[in-house]
Amino acid sequence: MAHRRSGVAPALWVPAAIAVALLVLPLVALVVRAPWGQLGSLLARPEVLQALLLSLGTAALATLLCLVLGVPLAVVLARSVTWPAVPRRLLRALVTVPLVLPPVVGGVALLLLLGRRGLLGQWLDEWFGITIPFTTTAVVIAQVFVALPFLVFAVEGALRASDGRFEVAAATLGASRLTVFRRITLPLVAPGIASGALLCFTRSLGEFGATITFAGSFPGTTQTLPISTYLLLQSDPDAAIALSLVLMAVSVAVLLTLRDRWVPGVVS
Amino acid sequence: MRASIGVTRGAFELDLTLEVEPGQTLALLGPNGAGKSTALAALAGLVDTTGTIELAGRVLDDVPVEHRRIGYVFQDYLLFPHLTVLDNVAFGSTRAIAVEWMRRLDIADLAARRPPQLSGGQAQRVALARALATNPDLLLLDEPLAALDVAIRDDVRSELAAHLAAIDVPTIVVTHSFEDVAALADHVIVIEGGVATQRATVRELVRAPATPYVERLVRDWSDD
Repeated sequence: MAHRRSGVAPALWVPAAIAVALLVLPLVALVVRAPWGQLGSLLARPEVLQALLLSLGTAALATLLCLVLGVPLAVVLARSVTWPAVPRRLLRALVTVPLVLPPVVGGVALLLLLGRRGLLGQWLDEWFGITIPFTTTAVVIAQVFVALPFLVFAVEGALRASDGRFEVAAATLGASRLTVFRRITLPLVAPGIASGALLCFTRSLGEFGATITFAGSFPGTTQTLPISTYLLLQSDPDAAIALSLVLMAVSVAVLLTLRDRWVPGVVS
Repeated sequence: MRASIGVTRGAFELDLTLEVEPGQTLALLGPNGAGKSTALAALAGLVDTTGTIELAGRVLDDVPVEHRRIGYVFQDYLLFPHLTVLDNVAFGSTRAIAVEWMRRLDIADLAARRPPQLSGGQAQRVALARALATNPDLLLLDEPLAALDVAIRDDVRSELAAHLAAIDVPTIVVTHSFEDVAALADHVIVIEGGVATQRATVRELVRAPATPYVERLVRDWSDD
C-alpha cells in the first residue's frame, strides 16, 4: 500500500515531463548551439570583457549595499512579530514589492524618483549638481532595488529559525544589545547571510529591465552583461550566446553552492 | 539578596518574597508550572515584575538584564554553539578569569572544544563557569540536572554540590526534585500555584512537610 500511495497517477507524468522539458530544453539548445571553438576569443573581445567587468563590479557593489541595508532590515522584519498587524504586514508587503513588480516598472519608478525632474532627483541636481540616471550609480541602484528582497528574506528566515534564547543568555552575561547582535546573532545566522548574499549577487548580475530603463545602455558605464547580450543578439549572435553561457554558468554555480540551503524543496 | 516578585500572565499569578545570603543556596521547589522558573526570570530581568529586588546594596527594578550582575545557568545551558568552551566562558569576562574558573571547575582541558562535543555533565560545568566568570552578585540555576541522563545525574549532582559549597555567591536553584534540594540547598521555599506554601530548612522540610505535595516528595526520597 505504501508503494501505491507514494506513486504518481500516470496522467500526471505527461504534463510533468512537458514542464521539465520546458525548463531544460532551452538551456540544452543554448549549450548545443554554443560556438565552443570560438568561446575563448569571443569572451576576450574588449567590449565583452568591458561588459563582464562592469557587471561583476556593479553586482558586487549592489550585494555589499544590500548587506549593509538588508541585514538590519531583516532584523527589524524578524522582530516585527510583536508589532500590531497593520504596520507589520505593510512592512512585509513593501519588502516584497520588488519581487512581484515587473523590473521595467521598477526602472520607471526609479526614474520618477531620481531622474532630473524626479521627486528627489530635481533637488539632487539643483543643490548638489548630482545626476544619477544613465550612470553606473544608476545601474547599482537598480540592482539593489530588485535584489534586496532576496537578501532580506533569506536573512529573516535564518533569524526566525535561530534560537533567540542564546541572545538572552548573552545579555545575562553582561553583553549590550549591539554586542549580542555582533557576537551572537550575526555568527548564528551567518549561513543565511551568505546564501542571501549569493542570491542577491546572482539577481543583480542578471538584472535587465530596471537597469536599461533607469540607466540606459552606454558601453563601459551602464551596458551590463544581460543588456550587452540582448544587443549582441541582433548583430553578433555567437557573441550573445557566449555571454549567455557565462551568465548561465554563474547561475548553475550558485545553485550548486546553495543546493543544501534555501533552494525550495531541497532544504534538508 | 532580598526580593519581592509579582508576575501576572493571563490567569496565572506569581507572588513571592525571598531572601538569600552570601554563601547560601536557596532552593525553589515545586511542581511543573508552579512559577519557579518565572521567579528566576523575574530576578534576572527577563520578565516584567512588580515588587522590588535588592541585591548587593543596589535596587535592580529598573536595571536592564545586562547590568544586573546575575549569573544565570539555564536548564539546557544555552552554550553558544559557534564559540569554543574557552570563548563561551570568557564571553562576559576576560580570558584570564575564564581560564581560572575552568581550572577550578576542572574543565581546562576542554578549552578548545565546541559545545556539541561536550557531554551533559561537561556542558553543565561550562555553563556554571561561564556564569561565575562574570563575578555575579547572585547565581541562578534553573533545573541544573534536568537535561542530564539519569545514569550520570547523581555524580554530577554531588560535583555541583561541591562547587556550590566552594563559592561565596548567594545562589538560587530551581528544581522539582527533592534529591537536588537535599544535595544542594540550605533553605527551601516550596512554591505551588504561584505562592509559597512552605519556607524551611531542608531538615525541617523532611521533619514537618506542610503540604501533601512536599509530603509525597519526602516520602519518595526517603524510600530510595
